[in-house]
Amino acid sequence: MPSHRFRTCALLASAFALVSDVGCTGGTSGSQDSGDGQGDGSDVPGAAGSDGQVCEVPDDGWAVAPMRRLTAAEYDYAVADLLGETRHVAADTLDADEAISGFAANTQVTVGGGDAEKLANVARAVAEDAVTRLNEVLKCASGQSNEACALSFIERFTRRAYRRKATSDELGILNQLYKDKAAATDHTQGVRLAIEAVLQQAPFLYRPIIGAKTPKDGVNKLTGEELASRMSFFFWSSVPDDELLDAADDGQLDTVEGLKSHAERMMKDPRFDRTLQSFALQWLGLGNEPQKDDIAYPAFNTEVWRSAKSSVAQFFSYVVKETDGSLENLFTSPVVFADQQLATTYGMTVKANGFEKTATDPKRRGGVFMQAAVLANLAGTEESSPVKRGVFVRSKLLCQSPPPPPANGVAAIAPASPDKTQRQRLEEHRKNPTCAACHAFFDPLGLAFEHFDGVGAYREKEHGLAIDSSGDLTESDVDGPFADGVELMSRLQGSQVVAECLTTQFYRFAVGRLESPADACVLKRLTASMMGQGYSVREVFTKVATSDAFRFVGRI
Amino acid sequence: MSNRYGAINFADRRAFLRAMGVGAAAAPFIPLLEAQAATAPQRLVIMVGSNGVGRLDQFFPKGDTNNFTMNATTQSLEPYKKDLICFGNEFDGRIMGGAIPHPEAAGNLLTASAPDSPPPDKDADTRNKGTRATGPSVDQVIAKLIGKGTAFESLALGCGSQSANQLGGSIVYRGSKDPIVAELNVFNTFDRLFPAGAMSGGTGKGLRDGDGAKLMDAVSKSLTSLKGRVGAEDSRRLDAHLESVSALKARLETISQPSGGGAGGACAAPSAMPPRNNTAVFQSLLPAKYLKEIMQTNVDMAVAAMACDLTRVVVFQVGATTALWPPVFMGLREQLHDVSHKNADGMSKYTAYTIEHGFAYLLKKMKSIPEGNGTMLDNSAVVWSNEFGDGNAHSMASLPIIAAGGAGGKWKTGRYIRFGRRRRHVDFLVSLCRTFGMDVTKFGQDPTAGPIAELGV
Repeated sequence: MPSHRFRTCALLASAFALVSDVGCTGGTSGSQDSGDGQGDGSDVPGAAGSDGQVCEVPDDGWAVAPMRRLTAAEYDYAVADLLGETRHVAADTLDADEAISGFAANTQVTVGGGDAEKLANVARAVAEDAVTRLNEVLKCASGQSNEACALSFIERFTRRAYRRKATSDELGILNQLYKDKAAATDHTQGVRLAIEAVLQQAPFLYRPIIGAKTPKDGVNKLTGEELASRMSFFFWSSVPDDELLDAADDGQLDTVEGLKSHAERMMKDPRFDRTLQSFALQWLGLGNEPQKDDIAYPAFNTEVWRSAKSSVAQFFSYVVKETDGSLENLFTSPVVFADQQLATTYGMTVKANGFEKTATDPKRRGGVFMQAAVLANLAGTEESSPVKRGVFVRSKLLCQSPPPPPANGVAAIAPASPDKTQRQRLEEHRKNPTCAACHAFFDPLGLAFEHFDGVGAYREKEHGLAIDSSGDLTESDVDGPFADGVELMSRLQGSQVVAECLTTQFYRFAVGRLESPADACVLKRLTASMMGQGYSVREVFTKVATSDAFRFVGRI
Repeated sequence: MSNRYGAINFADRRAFLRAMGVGAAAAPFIPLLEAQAATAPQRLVIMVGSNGVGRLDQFFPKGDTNNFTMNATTQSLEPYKKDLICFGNEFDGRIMGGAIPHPEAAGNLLTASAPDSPPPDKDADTRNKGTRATGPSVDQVIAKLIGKGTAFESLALGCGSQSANQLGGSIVYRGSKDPIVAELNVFNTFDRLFPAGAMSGGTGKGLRDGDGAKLMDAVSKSLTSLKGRVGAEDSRRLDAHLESVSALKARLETISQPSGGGAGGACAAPSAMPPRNNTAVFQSLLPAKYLKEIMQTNVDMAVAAMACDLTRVVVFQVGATTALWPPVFMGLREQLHDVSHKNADGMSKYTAYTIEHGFAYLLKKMKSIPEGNGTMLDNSAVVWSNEFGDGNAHSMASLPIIAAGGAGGKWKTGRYIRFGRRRRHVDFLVSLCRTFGMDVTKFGQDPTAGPIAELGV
């Protein structure tokens, strides 16, 4: 009987929730006074009452922050903000970023072999382009000499590029590069070389977070400049503006109130869309174009895929910015953004060029999971994949990860055949008890979406056979039956486990690593505090950015 | 160089190197190559497939030591039999007690090192990408010996190897947990190797106008300064970055050095690059449709680079561990990884295709370059392998290994070596090190019975 094996799989998968409890036992003993949060050196985790939640954790419960290297997208956004560069030179040239839990972080892979040359080539291309807009980039004061203007530019440019004031040694090197080149050639080439140099420097490429000592052993508090940097990459996927750096210099970011007001300001800025798009695509695992069979899906191509990805990002942005940002809207809102490319997949007519917000039949399709790109990505080349979809719901929405398939002799699921549905073929597969142990855990959740084919189009029948998309949700805090994907998602939107899971993913996205026990405790409590008033993605952004888990790190 | 895309032939190798803007780095080594000596292998070339070889009974040769025939999957190697040393199904690379996930197998193949412990979380996304090997791969160890001073100590070139960019899945390791990601973009490779032939704006040219060394000094200073502030693990990453910057600087500094005339040779940039100015073609360079074209372009460039002595160590990664693209170019419509699990015949055919258009093509190209009294192939040690034997079983038992080339006189080719028992695959890696004159009796962490006597090293 498979019951023992099933339990093994379910237990493994539930372990995540248990891990989150570690370190959450104390809870009430932290100082709760006033929360004035002055940056006076006495600020320790919990003391500021930053999120109204206190976690008492052992000193080694705080992880050090691994140093991140700018992702290709962050590099491109940074040079857009700093220099008005509009091409995507880094994305076109650099190797793919390394992801932690699906989010690009670059905390492990080294710049090695020929990578330095690639970075040099990118810097050169950006710098050459920038000096074609020399006046716009330099913003010289009237009457200023070329040299004075260039040196003052280098100082301003490095402050934002490095997310801190450059040291006099650092400025000395850059100024000399400018002066020598300007003397040997001309002012423009001097500026070009200085920009080229800055874009290859360690303080531009790397994001170290070291912090300053707190009275609590092993715990450091991020400095103002480090918080400005962490904030700007979290909210804008790019370098800070001068306002944020000025605020850091004034000590405003040392307080929760200061962080909060800048978080609100930054979410109103158009640059916030970059982060929303970047988060949505990475959370949902939408990267490379999934390969589709030309015969099964003749209409699917690169253009359709690009539109579908863009459409998901627009949906996510819409829910966060134009609705209350609740899980209910995120998981069930009957809306898609469709353009001509997607009209066929969504079975609707689109009149205008570009994307149109269009209502869907709420009984059939709604929410982020039933977007075409998500469903097409979680599918095979010739058909849907209830296995991929089910595993995704378990791992990305419930943070319950089934173990990988057994390595020895994976028993294949029977190939597509016109006389059997996916459900029937999967049922045969589950007759093997080794397979059943885990497949019983995720197959039913994936089968809920069987009304969507391998490219995410709605279908009444599979090969002319009736589709049964019903099932039971188990191993969650919102267990119960569902008739189809719409019903499954409306169950999940009420789940605290799902809310915690989403908060955790925002946090991983924000800090580029998995949460430490201390972080996990803070995040769990932070989510719990929202469940009564209504969970909102906007609010989560603010709460994460003002939480102890964002403001403190382990000491190196 | 009248035609950007056309053949570029130089009677004088050094003139070519100067024109290419990278050559003089190799100057001290040219006499070595031009000497008629056949004393040691000058190069190591490894080509690695993925997801197993399909049906084992169609892969390994039939016959005995000196009288054997290739099998169905390896049929295209029949004309090269005199240049091969074949092995049977006797190499055993099994670790972790048997079956092993793809990324860990790929990491083990050339390192014979245990995989890193899995990440301490239950996150499938991170975990399923596998863990890294905990030691250097054999090509990197040998590159330290024979590649020093060449413009590129080693090259790792991939095709359809997207998953190599993830935590696991790499086959080349600089050191423990430090993978080298195979370059997938053939144009990036071309521009690095042959910068004067670089066709697009920016790439390669910027550093070579005199400021490169100064820039690299400034970069090194900033990296060193940051290194003093961060933890040990981050410090190690900055060391690798520093090394990459110094290597680049060293290459740049040698560009303008004059060098004298010399004998002619086959040093020429590859003549048949795909057109890059056509976006549609560039974007369609997908392994699903153009695996052969990408493989062969990589081979062309690598052989050209070796003929110019820009590099002496090359690893080709063909496909990817757990490749998600379907080999539609040969009518297979499922993802390659699925083919390996569901369709052993299809996987055999796919393997035969990559051997014919990849490995046999490599041997043909290397044989076409005359060197001394023989060819480039005679002066090189060449290896073909795969992370698995039986891909469906995820098994490193019956690991396929084919050696080729004279290894500079060290290897006696034209043989099919059978041991009559299983041997650890690390024994072959030990022998490979010894072929290059390293006096070692073990490699990596895998217990070894020592070098393979039949190889005579």
